[in-house]
Amino acid sequence: MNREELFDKHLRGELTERDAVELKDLLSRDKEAGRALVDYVNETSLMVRVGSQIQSALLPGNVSKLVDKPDMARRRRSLAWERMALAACLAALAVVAARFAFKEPQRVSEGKAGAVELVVQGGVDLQRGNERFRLTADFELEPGDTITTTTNGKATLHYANEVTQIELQPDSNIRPRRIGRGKEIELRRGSLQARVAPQPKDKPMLVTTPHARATVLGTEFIMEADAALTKLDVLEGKVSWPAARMRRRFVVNAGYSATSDSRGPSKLSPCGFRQCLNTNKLSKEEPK
Amino acid sequence: VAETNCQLEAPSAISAEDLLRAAFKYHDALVSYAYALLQDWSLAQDAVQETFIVLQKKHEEFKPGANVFTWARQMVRYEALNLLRSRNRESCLIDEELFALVDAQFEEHMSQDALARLDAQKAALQNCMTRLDADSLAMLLGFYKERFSCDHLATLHQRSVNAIRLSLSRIRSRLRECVRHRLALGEIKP
Repeated sequence: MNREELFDKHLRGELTERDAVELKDLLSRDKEAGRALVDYVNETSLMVRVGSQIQSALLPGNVSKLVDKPDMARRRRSLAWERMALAACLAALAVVAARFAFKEPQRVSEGKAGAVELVVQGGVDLQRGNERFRLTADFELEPGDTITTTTNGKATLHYANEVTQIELQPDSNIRPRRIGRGKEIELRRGSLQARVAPQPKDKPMLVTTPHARATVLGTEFIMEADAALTKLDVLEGKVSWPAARMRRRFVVNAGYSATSDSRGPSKLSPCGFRQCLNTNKLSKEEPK
Repeated sequence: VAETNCQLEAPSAISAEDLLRAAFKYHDALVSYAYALLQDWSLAQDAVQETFIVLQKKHEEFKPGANVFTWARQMVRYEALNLLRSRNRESCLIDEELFALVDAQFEEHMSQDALARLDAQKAALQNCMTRLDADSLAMLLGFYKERFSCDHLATLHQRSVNAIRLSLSRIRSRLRECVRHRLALGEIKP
């Protein structure tokens, strides 16, 4: 058996007693074999990690919007110039309006425990109570603020004292309800990509949409919501996901997608390839 | 291990956030290490996730100036053992001699250079793997991530077992070659 076959067997937990003896002997006497094992495991590990992310992006649901709406895509292209001209006019108007009508919120106070800093790029509006601001600088959020990104705007929420960050895509709307321990975010419309640091088990992070309430302990995922549907793609880790009619929650693992709509049960996509649809081993039910 | 390069600069006490941030840089390396010990990708992810939670809680025990990667790696080792024990799989998985040998290889060969190489390798792989067709990607993930047998993969992909083995070997070779090429071109700098 060649060295790589032996390493593969090890990684898949398939070593026989004889194989194990061979591997131990190899690692004990040959220093170069040790280095080769480390390199091989690193390479395999990266392939699985990167491959899972790519596979998630290839899931049929993720591309259906583009495929299903060719007319819109054509229209978008044909209107591109008009929109650019209009956007330039609106941007100029916005600058003038901001000077006269909007109050500029205060910048984030650095290092404050439990704070969430909002880093803005392009058009990002914030509503606090009855006041609405166009943000032109980074800003410290408060629970209950509503953030809206325009079609050319992006916003990233950075949580203090942890590596959690949530990137809000253009044309989206969110409302962070709680920002300290037991974070809760309402995604009302659009798309967000989140990298969530491990959260306390008794205070997980909740992401709610009109159709779902996802529980996150620490993971990386993309969530999209509109009036009809919520879609979740888990890139790393796990997300607990409801299936309303069945009164169960599902664990959606990395590389997997789930959808939920107003009618109830979630549709789980065990993997991105049709032949695997009935061999799902990764998504499992857990009691609610 | 090249200790000095991994050390945090500030000699004062470190906050949980800073420690977590520093450890997170080694996320891929830690998952890889856990994967080698646990021989299961999902378990490896669980072990690393659990490690970050513990690391946050125990940040005060971290001695300023110590090597973050080494510290986190020791925690992963501990979590890996815990996971194996809690799953009652000692009989088939804990070959202590092998566990120690694999551990020793990572201790010896995961130098700061190797960690930097891993980042560059990942960046290159991100490019190379997007060129793989969906079937090849599914096969690769089925084999390593899901641990499907070659028989099962042969059924899924409607090919012979030998063809599956050959394909897996070719896919890996192609990826390796692509990564080597990209790194050599200097497109991805370590």
